[in-house]
Amino acid sequence: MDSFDKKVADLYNKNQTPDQLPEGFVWDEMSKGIYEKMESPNRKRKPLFWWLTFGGFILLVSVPGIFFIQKSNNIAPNQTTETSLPTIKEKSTFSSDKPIAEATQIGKEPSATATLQNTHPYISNNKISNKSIVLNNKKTKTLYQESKPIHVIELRDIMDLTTIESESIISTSSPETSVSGAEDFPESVNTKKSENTFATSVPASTTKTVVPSTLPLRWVTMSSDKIIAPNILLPKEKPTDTPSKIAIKFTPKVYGGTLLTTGKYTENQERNTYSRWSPGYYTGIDFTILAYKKWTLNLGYEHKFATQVLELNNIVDTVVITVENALTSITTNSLNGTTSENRETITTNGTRTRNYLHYNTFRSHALRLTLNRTFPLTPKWHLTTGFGGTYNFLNQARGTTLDLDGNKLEYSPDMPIYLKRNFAIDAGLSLEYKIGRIKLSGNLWLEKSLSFGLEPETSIQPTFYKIGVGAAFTL
Amino acid sequence: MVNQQIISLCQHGKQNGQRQLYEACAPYVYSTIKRYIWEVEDIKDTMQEVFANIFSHIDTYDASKGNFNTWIRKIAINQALMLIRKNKKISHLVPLDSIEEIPFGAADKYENLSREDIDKLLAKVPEGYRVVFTLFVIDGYHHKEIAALLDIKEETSRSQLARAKKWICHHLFNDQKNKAYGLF
Repeated sequence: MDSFDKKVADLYNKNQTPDQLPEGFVWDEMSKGIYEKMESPNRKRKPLFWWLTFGGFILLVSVPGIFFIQKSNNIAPNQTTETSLPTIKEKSTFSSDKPIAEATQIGKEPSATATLQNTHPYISNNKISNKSIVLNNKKTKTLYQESKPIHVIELRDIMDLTTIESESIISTSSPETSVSGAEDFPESVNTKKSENTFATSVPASTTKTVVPSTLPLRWVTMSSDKIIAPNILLPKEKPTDTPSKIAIKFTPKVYGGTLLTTGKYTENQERNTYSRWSPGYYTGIDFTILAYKKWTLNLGYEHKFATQVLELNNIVDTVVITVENALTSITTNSLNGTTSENRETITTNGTRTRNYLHYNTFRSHALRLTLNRTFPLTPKWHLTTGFGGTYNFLNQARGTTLDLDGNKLEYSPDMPIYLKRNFAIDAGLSLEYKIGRIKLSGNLWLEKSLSFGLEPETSIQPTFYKIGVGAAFTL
Repeated sequence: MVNQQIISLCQHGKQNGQRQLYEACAPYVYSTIKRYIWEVEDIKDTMQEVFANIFSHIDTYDASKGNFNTWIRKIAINQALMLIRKNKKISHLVPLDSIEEIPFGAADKYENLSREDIDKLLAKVPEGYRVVFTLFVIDGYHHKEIAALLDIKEETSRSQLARAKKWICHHLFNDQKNKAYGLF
């Protein structure tokens, strides 16, 4: 124990009266807690902040997730019935080489070539004429099925109808096109002005809207504007990205990129002369938890890593230099010419110059809550801006131990210093490209921290520039 | 001062004796715990745990092995460390290769050092440092004992003490050469 230790030990242990008990520590107030602890010594202690933070986070994430999963399980069987059949009609193509009058001669020529593929039992009972009715669920537009000599009804199964999207085609292309099934349910065929693509030489300005004759009337009816069908067959509205009511969503997004940091010490500005930041990285995951029209609320976790370089040159230390057996003088006897050396131990103060070069690392674990607004640029490209807050709940700094000469300095490289928790303000924008349910994005965010540091003189308010990419997946 | 009569009452589970023991020892226990824990609520909780342990295990107290204050101080320190261990990880601390001595020329500067000065610094010092420093310097534990208490290596305890002293000296004496220390 050196003298410093002894001094401190004496301050605490010698002739010192114990501290006075503060309010709230008297027996009457403490005894209840003491007896409770005696009765249940192994009781669980009160939840700590760490568990509260993560418990809340997990709760916030999992509840919408469970809600979504349950909801999606309920609607799964009907999920493909999302597109409304009216759109089939609206974008369908009807073509015929024959005048409408002929085309509407229903069932005059029983077909020997009609083909029905994968027909549902309901369908197989219906008459199929030799007139071509092609019902595809192709997602690319094929306006005219000219190459098909034989008229085919492609109804792979009854559920195929439910996957028809807005670009599906209903077309007839036979020279002798007619529409069958009208005898069975004549009210299902109307003549109307068509807004559809008309790819034939039909001179008439009116045309038919065609419905597959295979569908029983109780399933499909046609009006002048719409084809109405029960839910089991007909698609419903597809969910959009812009719900008109506040909706609970669960869209995870992973992201990451380069972290550029700037920041100056305000109290101890001298540190700014020898401190500089070098690029780091950030990564995180966030979840869209609420959506309203083009607004979304996101909650997520983020990890940041940065490096701060401390460089000091020409640090002068005072050191004690002791030289033992140093030759201090030589005495020569002038009478006999002999010499004698005088040696002694010399102690003196000296200086030592050193350079410091420290690569100190900084890590932060944070929760982010942001409010975002999406601006569709094109159907595929979206621009999203956001604003929110970050709570850096675990901040850690580590110092390394190499000087310019490669010598290890006297303290540990790996022992972290925990900095106080802090809040930060977030703002940024993302450019997103949508591929189905996946959104790829390029992100640019700025995070302005309120305060980091152990104490005022070393506190700093860094600004983090986050440049990176991300991928979101809509479940 | 706790006498044998109070201890005897406590050993028989008498509430009156427990009250007397608490009133006699609480300031000492409070002072001991306060060196390790700073949050008032944590101190309160730890004190309750300490006295619950004292009352529950007072049968095991053997006066021939040491005085009563030493016994309850050990309980108090153990309980405080238990809370610290629960809140913070100390086991990840790693050893140093060398131990920093007190800066040259500093010896004459701490003649006027007061307990308040140390208290203020200990309030700021990182927890890992504080615990080892307090155990070693103030409460007189050896590195071997500290290592066992904190479940760390003996060298780690030494290195922590070195860093703690360096940190304290830096802040006490504002040693210019230590300015590069650490981040933030």
